[in-house]
Amino acid sequence: MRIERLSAKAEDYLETILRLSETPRGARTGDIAAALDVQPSTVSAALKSLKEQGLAEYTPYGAVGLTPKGRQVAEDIAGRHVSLRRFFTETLGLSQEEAELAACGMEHDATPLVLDRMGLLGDFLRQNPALLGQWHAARATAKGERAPGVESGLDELPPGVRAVVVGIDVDSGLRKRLVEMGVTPGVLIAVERVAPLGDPIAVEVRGYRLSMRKAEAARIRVKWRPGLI
Amino acid sequence: MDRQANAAALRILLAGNPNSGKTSVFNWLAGAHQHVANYPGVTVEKKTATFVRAGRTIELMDLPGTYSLLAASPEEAIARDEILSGNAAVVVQVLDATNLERNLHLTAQLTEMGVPVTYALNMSDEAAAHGLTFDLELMSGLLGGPVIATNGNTGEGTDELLAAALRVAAGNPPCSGRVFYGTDLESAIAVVAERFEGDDAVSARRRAIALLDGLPDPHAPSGALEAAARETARLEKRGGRPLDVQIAETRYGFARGVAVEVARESSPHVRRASTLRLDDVLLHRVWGLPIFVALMWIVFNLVFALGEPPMRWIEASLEWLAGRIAVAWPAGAAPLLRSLLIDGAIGGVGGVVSFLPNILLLFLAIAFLEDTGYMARVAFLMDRIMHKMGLHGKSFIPMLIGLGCTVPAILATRMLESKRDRFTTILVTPFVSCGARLTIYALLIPAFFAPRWRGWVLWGIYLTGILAAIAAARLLRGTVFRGANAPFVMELPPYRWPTWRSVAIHMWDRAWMYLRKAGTVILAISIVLWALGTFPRKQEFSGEETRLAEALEYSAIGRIGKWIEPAIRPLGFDWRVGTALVGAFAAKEVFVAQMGIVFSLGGDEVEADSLRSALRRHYTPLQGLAMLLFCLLSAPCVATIAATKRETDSWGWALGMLLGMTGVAWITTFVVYQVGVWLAWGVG
Repeated sequence: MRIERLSAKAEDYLETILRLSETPRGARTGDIAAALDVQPSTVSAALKSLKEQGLAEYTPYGAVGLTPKGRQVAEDIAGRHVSLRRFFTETLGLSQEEAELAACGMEHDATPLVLDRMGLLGDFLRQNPALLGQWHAARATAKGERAPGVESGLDELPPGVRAVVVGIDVDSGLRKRLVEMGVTPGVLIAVERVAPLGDPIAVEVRGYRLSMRKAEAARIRVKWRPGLI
Repeated sequence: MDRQANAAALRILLAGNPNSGKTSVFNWLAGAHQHVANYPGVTVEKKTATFVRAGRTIELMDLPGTYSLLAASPEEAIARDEILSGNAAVVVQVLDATNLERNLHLTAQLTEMGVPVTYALNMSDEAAAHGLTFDLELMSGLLGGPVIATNGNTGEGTDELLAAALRVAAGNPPCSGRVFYGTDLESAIAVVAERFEGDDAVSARRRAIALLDGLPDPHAPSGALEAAARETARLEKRGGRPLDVQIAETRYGFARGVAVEVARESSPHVRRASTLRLDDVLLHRVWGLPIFVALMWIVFNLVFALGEPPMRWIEASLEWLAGRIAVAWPAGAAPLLRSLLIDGAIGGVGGVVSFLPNILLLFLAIAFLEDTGYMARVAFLMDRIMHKMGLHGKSFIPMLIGLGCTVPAILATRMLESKRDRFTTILVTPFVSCGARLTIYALLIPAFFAPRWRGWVLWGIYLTGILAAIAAARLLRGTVFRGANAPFVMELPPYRWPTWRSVAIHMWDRAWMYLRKAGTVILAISIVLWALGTFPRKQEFSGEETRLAEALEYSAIGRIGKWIEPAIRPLGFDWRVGTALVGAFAAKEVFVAQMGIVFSLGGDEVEADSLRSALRRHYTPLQGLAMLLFCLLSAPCVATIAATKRETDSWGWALGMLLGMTGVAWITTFVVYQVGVWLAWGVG
C-alpha cells in the first residue's frame, strides 16, 4: 500500500497528523511543528505539497485533516511503526528509547516482505516462550551480560538455562513438598529435560534431579541467569 | 507401655531418605529378608527384625523412607511417631553420600527430636569413585553423632555401624547437633516454646518449631497457638514469604553448610554423567517412548510367556496328583471327602500356586525396574497420558500387567505412593481384559460371528475394557476420590545396577506376602464354591448322559443360576448362563467348563465345536455378544477380590468392586441387548 516516491518526511507528516487528529484539539499547524521539531513555515510548505498529492486537506488557521487516501497511508505507517517497535523491544530485547529511534528510521524503508517476516518471527517466538527465552539467554551470554529482568514460572524456563528460585506461589501441600525437596528461594535450578509427551519436566536442584508436572513448575517463580549449565 | 520388653530388647530405628540405600543397610544389619529398592516410596509398612548381637537382643526397625519428618504424609507420621515414642535407644540415619545436601535436610529435623543418633554415610564408595571424599570426624562433630562409612551393596561398614550405634545407645547422649535458625526465628521459637509449660526444653522447642512451620498440633496449649500465630504473622511480614518456606530455607542452609564443609572437594555434589547419558537415550524426545514400549513388551512377555511352562507344569502335577488320589481312593469310600480333596482343595491350591510363576516373574521384573531407577522414568514418560485419565504415571504398569492377569496387576499398584491413585488404579484395572477372559472369547466369538468379523469383535472387546477402565477412573476421581491431585514432584534417582541379592530379596518378599495373604483367601473361597457346586446332592438321575448337568442344576450354584434368572433375563441370559457366570466367579475360564456341563457335553473334556453348535442352537448372536460384554465387565474372579482385599486392607472396597463392576456390566449389557432387540439386530 505504499505510495510511489512519497518521502520519509511526508510519511512522518501523515503519521503525525493522524496521531494529532485523534486528540480533541485536532491537528493544528503549530502542534505539528512542535511534534516534528520544525518551523511552522516548513509545516505550511509540506502541507501544501500533501494537499497537491491529494493526501491532506486544510484551511489556514483551521485543523488539518487527512483525505481517505492520506488516512490509509498514515495508518499503514503507524502500524509499521508499532510493529517494528514491538519487534525491537520484545524480540531483539532493545530498550524503549532505542526501539523508538530505530522504528522511526526503518518504518519508511523496510519493504512489506521484510516487515511481514519480522512480524512472523516475533509471533513465532511469542508462541514459543521456551525458544524466546533460549534466544534471550544466548544473546545475553554472547554479550556477557545478564538477561535483563527475565522472570517467569519455572515451566517457561528453557532447558539448559539456569535460574534462581524467587518464590513459590502456591499455598498448599505442594509448597511443603517442594521446599522439603529443596526448592527454596535463592536456590539455583535448571530444567534438565522435558518428557517426550511435553509434560512433566525434569529439573536439577541441589545436585540431584526432580521431576514435576508443568502445572506445578508454573507455581515456582524463577529469575533467569545467563550461561548454560 | 511395655517396660519389660523394652528392657529386654534394644530398639534401633533406621531412618533416611528414599533411595538412600536404607533398606540394603537394614538387610545387612539384620540379615533379614527385606526389600531393597532404588525407588521412592517402596517401604510402606514398618518392618522389624530381631536378632542377638553382643549378648543383647536387638530389635531393628526399618522406618518408611521420607524426605522430612513433618508428618505431612502417613509415612512421615509413622517415622516421626516412632522416633518420638521414646522406645528407641538410638536412631540410625542412612545418608546417601552422593546426595548429601538433600539427605542432611532430614538430619536437620532429626537433630530436633532429642534422641541419640548415629549416621551411616552410605554409598561413600560411589562418591569416592567420582572423586568426592569426606572428613568423617568433622562431620561427626557437626552432626552430633558418630558417622560410619558404609556400603549397602557389599555390607562393608555395617558391623562398625552397629557397634557405634550400640555404643551411643549405651551412653545415651542425645544428638548434640543443632540448627540455628537465625536471630529472628530463634526469638520466635523461644516465645512459642515458653507456652509449652509441661514439656521439657527439647520437646518444647521441637513443638514450637512445628507450630511455626504450620503443622497442626492438636494437644498444643491455646497460649502456644496464639503466640505461634502472632509470631508467624510478624515474621512473614518481615521476611516477605511464608514462614514454612523460611524455615525450610534455614534447614537447607544448615544442610548445605555441613555438606560443603565436610566434602574434600569444592562441590558437595556428584555429577552423574552416566545417568544423564542414559537418560539422553531412555528419555529421548523421539526414542524414549519406543524404547519404553519395547521394554514393557519384554516385561509382559517375560511375565506371561516365560511363566507359561511352569504354570502348566504346576497344573499338570496337580492334575496328576488328583488323578493318583482318584485311583487310590475308591469312588465309593467317603465320596464327599474324596470330592472335597480332589475338586475343592487341590483345585483351590491350584488357583493359588498356578499364579505363582507369573507373580514371581512379575515381581522380579518390577524389582529390577525399581532397583535400577527406571520405574521413576516410567512415571515420567507416561504421566501426561495417565494424568488425563485421572491416574498417575506409574498406574500404567499395573494396567499393562492387567492384560495378562489382574491379580499381579493389583499387587503391582504398591508402587503408587498416593492412596487415591493406588485405590483408583486397583478398582479400574479389572476392567482391562485379562488372559483368562480370552478363553471365554475364544469359545463365544467363533460360535456367533462370521470369520471376517471375529478379529474385529475381539479387538472391540479389548478396547471396550480399556475404555471402561478410563471411564471408571474418571468417574472415581470425580466422586469417591475427589480432590486435588497429589503432587507429582518426585525424585529421579540416578541409575544404579542392582545386586542380585537385593533383587532376589525384593522379589521373594512380595511373593511371600501374596502367598500368605491373598492365597489363603483364594483357597477358602474356592472351597466354598466347590461346596456350592456340590451341595445339595442329587441322588436320582434321569440318565447317565445328563448326570453331571443334572447334578449341577440341582446344586446350590444351579439354584442360584435359576434364582437369578429373572435378574439376568433382560440381558438375554437364561439360568444356564447364570450358572456358568456364578461358576466363573472362581476363575473366569470356568465359564467355558460350566457351559459344557450344563449342555451335557460330557465331563471335563469339552469338545469346543460341539459346544459351539449347541450354543448356536440355543442363543442368538446378540445374546452371544451380551455374554461377551458381561464376562468382560462383570465381577472379577475370586483371586482379584482377594488381592483387592489384601491391597486395600478392606472388605468394603473388595465388595464394592464386586458390586460396582457387576452393576456396570448389567447396565451396559442391558442397554446393548435391549437396543439390539429393538433394532431386531442379530436375533435371527
